[in-house]
Amino acid sequence: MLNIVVIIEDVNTNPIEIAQAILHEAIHAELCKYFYDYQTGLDFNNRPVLFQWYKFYSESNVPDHHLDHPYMSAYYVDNIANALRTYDNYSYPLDYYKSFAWQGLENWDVNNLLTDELENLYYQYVPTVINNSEVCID
Amino acid sequence: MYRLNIFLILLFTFSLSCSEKLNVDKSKYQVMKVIYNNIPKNIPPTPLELLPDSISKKVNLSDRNGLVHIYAINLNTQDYDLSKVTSRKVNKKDSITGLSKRVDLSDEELRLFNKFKKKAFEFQIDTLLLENVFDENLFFMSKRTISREEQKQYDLTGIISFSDVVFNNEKNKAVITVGTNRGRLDSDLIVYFLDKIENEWKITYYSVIEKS
Repeated sequence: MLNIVVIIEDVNTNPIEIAQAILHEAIHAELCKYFYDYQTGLDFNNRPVLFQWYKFYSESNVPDHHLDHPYMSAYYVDNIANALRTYDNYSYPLDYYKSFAWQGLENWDVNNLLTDELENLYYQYVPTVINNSEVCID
Repeated sequence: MYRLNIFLILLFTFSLSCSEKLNVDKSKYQVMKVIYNNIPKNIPPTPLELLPDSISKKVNLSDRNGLVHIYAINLNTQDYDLSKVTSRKVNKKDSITGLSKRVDLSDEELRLFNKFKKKAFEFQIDTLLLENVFDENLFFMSKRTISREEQKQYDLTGIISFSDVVFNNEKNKAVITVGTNRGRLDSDLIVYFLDKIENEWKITYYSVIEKS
């Protein structure tokens, strides 16, 4: 049985970043589960692209525990941003949440989807979201 | 004459001790070099045929260079708390398929790991000796984590923090823990087990303690 423990260490931050950390690590856990199931012989025809990416980056000497990062940078940034926007009661357009969504994935942006111009643009929105966020964590 | 003999014996013992320490230090840095070289520095772009249309239309085809990861070395070794790591399960990478599988540590390696958990201590790295062993110029920082601002300021990807290296009595097996931080939500902590084979250190097993 696979046992995945997620520990959120930096809780002294704003609710959006805590939510982003939970989403980021939950995606890791989900992809880890797929990889574990694959290794234990289950059929994964429903995720062939994921394993093609894993195979390619494994052959490029990326260690097993980081094989999901390039895939996440391509497939999950918009999903994380969308979830954060929903969590923040749709207060701002999607781009306002992308700087958060990219955190932890910038160094694995193998296809250069986050250009310097986009990164600077998204970063400008961060204080607005943090200072005006309508969500709170008790 | 008697005093001179005593002095010469003391001098000889001292120089032997210094020489042994230098050899141990050099062996430690050789182990660190193997780990450093094992951390990927060049990550290629995804082949276009693996990109769905939704992504490939965002890709700048004139900039398909992939990533170059550049790391600083933490000037101080770290005493990572591994007291909660009790499993003897580790990963072993298959040299042919490249895939790793879970195996059990042998009793000898388990003893070495337990020795490591008690005996690894913090010290400041001898930067000149490390650069000499690595045979390259290195960038040192006195910290474990890096911010996005520091990455841009120093043109760095991350910081590698080594633990002390502990050897078995025969000095042909070694254990080291290495933490790598590339910013918020991008780090790992790994224990490596190495064997000295034909005078070269090779990673035999590894265990991922944490990743984000």
